[in-house]
Amino acid sequence: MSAHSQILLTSSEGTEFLIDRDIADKSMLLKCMLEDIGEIGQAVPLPNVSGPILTKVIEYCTHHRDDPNFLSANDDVTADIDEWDLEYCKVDQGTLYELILAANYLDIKPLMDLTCKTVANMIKAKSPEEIRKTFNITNDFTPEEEDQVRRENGKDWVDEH
Amino acid sequence: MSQPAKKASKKKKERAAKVFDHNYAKVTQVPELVELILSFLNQRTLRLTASLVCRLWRNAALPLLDQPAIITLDPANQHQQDPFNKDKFDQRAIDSIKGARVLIIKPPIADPYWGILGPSRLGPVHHQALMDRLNELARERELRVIDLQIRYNMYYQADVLPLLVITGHQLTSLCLKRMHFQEFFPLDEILLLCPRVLHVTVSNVVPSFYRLWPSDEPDHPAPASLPDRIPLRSLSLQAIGIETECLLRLLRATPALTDLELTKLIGGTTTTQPPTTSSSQASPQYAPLSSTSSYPPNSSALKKQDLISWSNMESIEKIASASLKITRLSISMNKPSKIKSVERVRILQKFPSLTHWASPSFDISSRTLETIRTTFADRVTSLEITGHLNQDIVGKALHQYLCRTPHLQDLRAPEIQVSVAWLDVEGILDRDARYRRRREDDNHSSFSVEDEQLHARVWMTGNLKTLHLGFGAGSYGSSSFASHVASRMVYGYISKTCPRLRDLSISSSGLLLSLEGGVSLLSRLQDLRRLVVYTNSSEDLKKDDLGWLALDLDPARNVEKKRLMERFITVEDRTIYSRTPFKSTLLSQDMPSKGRQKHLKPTIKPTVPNSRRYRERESSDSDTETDLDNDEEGFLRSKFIAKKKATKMTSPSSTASEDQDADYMMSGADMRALGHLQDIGTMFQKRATKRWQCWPELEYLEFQNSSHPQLDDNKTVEGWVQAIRPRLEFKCLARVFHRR
Repeated sequence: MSAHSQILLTSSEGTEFLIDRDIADKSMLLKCMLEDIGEIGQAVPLPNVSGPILTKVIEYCTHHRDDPNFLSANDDVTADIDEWDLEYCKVDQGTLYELILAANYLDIKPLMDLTCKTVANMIKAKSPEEIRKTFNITNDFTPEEEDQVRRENGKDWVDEH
Repeated sequence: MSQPAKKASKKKKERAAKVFDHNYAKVTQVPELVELILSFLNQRTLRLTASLVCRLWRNAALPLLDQPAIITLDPANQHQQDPFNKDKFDQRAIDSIKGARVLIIKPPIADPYWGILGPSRLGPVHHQALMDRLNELARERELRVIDLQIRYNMYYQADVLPLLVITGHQLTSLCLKRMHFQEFFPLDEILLLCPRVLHVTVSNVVPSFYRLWPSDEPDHPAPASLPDRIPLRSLSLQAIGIETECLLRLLRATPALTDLELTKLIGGTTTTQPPTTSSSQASPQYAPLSSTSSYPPNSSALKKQDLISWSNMESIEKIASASLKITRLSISMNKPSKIKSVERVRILQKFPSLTHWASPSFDISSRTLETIRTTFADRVTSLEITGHLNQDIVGKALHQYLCRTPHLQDLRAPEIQVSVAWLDVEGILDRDARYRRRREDDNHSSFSVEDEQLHARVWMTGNLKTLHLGFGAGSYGSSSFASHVASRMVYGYISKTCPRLRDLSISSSGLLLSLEGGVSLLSRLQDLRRLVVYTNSSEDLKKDDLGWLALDLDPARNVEKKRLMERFITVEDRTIYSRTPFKSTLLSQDMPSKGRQKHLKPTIKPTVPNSRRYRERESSDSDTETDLDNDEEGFLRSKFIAKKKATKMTSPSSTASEDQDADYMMSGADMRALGHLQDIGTMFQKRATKRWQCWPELEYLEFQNSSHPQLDDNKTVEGWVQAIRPRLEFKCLARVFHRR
């Protein structure tokens, strides 16, 4: 395997993307696949990822291609999101969700953590009703159940930290 | 746009919406994804918000909800130094370690006066059970502890090291308080055992030194060196001597370190000996492993100039040059520093990213704060003062600092007292008026004198988000203030000068928690998320006094409340004031309104005229709101005058009345009626006309009356607050409450 070999990826619409191998290796799915079957010289189909989203994913991997701590960068859940990543996540909610699904499918943990952290930030400081509204979720609790959850979670909890 | 184009556009939008909804469903309804998203939330949000969204979210949140496993040093263990003794320990606590991410080992009692009470350490059988459990969980890969907190008296070698060997590889946070180390403080070893740790807090009781391994110890090989890169973000070391070179080596390996707290540092030389088996309360059977092979018993002594201290300025300068990313810094010695504040600030300037500075109160003077203010301009936005030495002097310096520092965002000085006399705006106005008159008599221009004097004495804290502060009589004394007036003055002053507060913790022996005491004035702070009030008052708190805490008050309820407030605020004399009409009515939600009206007595005694000092110099112009309560019908007439004013607003002549009020606009805040019942009354009156929410963001509320133990009746009040604010975490430790 040459150091600068390139991989061809095909999005769900059939758009082709030629990327460097080290960028493809950021995805555990692609890395394992390429290690298992070798570079066969054909395009790798990614039927679950659309072209625009794949562009965004490649943009993320390219930016972090030289990051030595790529895989451990998001181990600290309390760490702040860095500036570039923050800008990267300034997309509409639909794109953000598609990015989560793509990161999940391609198995890119740092991107998965980043996008999930962004969604988590959207949840903070919102009431349950506001969350339901934001994420289009139906409240399937009965009033009694809701009261019970509220009681269980409210009582005996002391903020030790 | 043509018709087909419109249709195509509409179809496109619909398709987009479907995809959008589809992804919504996928992301927010797939348990694994929801669990991952929720894993980034804190425990509070998980419990009080995320769990209540829907069943799926509740189930996803359940495994993330942690109860910390708390192992208590039970007094029964005091007798367990004899291993043949019956060893009673809480098996449930040991069992709770499974699944827990936080493990706390703490004493049963932490008394504010006597300190920590209880046995010196875990009994041997208890300790063995703990270790067995941890080993068992580690073998089964069920050990999830990432946060280890040992809060009392343990020996590093005998007690802590075995714990770290098992849990260290996964810890992200480690807190060791009141620890017994030997002469060498083994930070390197701790960091090697905990390669992923991000936050380390260590305090020591026996003098110990973080220092480089002596090279002339052939019999004692040096421990493994530090890795090239340590992910540490915050490091707090207390009561330890630190060799400059040793810390510099650590700083080079920790590029992500932003918080550095080195407090009560030992600046002397090493003359201590490792603790012997006969020292402390350790039993012969369960003694610490002293003089182990990893520590040379007779290491060479450190010189004073090797250690970090303020008297060794060069050492601090070296730290500054190696700490480019440090934003939060505290360096203090175990005794007051003789170095001048100007010198210290000059060194602090060399920390390029510094935004938060912490210092013990004995190192603070008005000169220090003034130098910080002038040197750092708006760079230091967070200030912390620990301890309570010189609290009067520091309180005055702090007050002056707050009057000149508009950019400050966080202030934590819980043990420092600011005198209530300095908050007395009317007193300041009065003194200034006298001063002005004197100047006028001397035929000098007096126009700017008042402005200068006033604005230098009122806090310019419009950007303050965190305030932890005490209030007291101070050197001026506040005996001239009645307790209710002083209490209202403190609450009112804060509510007006710090409108953006999110975290407020105030303490004073004179603060009252009743409605008359004015705690409701803090409801002006709409961004508040956490409020704690510590007091030492003998006044009872009734649950009716807390009715204003209801989250949402609609105009219909407010109309009634407004009428009641009119009655309440006209009765300003304590002797006339009766709780009876107020008790059953104010914001009480569980009684029908008609019933409540029946309780009202039709007659209210005339108001005792206010003894406002500023009125001496004000004309008797009744067109200003500040003078309205001079007469007995003040508040009833105020409605009409307010209307009049509203109609005048469009005309240029309205500026005349504004000019009358200009005296009370200070640092952008309207300071009129500070300390008076009128302040509470007008606040509620203004709210009566519109829908208003009380502290919509508030998460935590605590009222603590320290002089009285918690009694069962507190639960009544807690239940009451829980009923009107279900999402709020409320604690109340106070005297007997009156049941209704």
